Amino acid sequence: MKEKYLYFAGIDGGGGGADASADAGCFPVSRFAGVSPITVTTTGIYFRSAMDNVDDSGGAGDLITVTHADTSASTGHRCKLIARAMGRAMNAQPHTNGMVDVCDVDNDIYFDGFSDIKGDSGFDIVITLDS
Amino acid sequence: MNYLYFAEATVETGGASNPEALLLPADSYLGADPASTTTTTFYFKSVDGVPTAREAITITHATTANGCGFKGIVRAMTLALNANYPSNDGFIVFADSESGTAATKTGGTEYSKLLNGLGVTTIAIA
Repeated sequence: MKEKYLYFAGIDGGGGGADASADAGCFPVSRFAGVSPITVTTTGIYFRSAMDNVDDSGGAGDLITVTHADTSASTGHRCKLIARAMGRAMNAQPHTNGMVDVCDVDNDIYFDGFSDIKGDSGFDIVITLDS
Repeated sequence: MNYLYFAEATVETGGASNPEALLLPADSYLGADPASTTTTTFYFKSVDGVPTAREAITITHATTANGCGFKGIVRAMTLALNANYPSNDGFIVFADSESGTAATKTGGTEYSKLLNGLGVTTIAIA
């Protein structure tokens, strides 16, 4: 069965050009591990590390940290909106070629709820790969 | 594949350690434990891939005599894990009890219809 891949690009609130480490990333859906709030203004998207070796220090897999507005006291934490977008992106069909642009700041392409948070003050994504 | 969403009453922090909300893939499901007559803990693989850790979601529900119990809530979970609704896009809100720190959360709390009549009241994620 063909695998589906999720594409993310952006750094420091803008497009990084996808030409340096952590400017962008592309992860297989089968490696998706979860979404959870980190702080009121950040949400984590987790993928199991392709290295399959969690650091001795208790490190993590691959992590995409999304910075967004604090809406926890109004419309609810942004993590649900991001979670819904991820669920839909991972099941996106049939009009995909195998890669789904989830959040591509370079090319201003956003999937589902990401388009609602791209205008948030401080909006940013940071990709941290397992080491 | 289905992805299940859970949220406590207040969603602010957590990360991979004791998050207050979680989206988890159905294939991360590990099992369930009847913690008491009114609480059941569901286990999933850790979101950060730590093999010795797991996500624990404890749901408070009605007793067996009152229409739920362990078997009732586990049945609801298995139906959600295997749900095949054409319109849900794979994103399934199983139990979102987030009311926020203000009473203005859009849409309020949201529970799967599979939980109707099961007396679900509290979600705790550890």
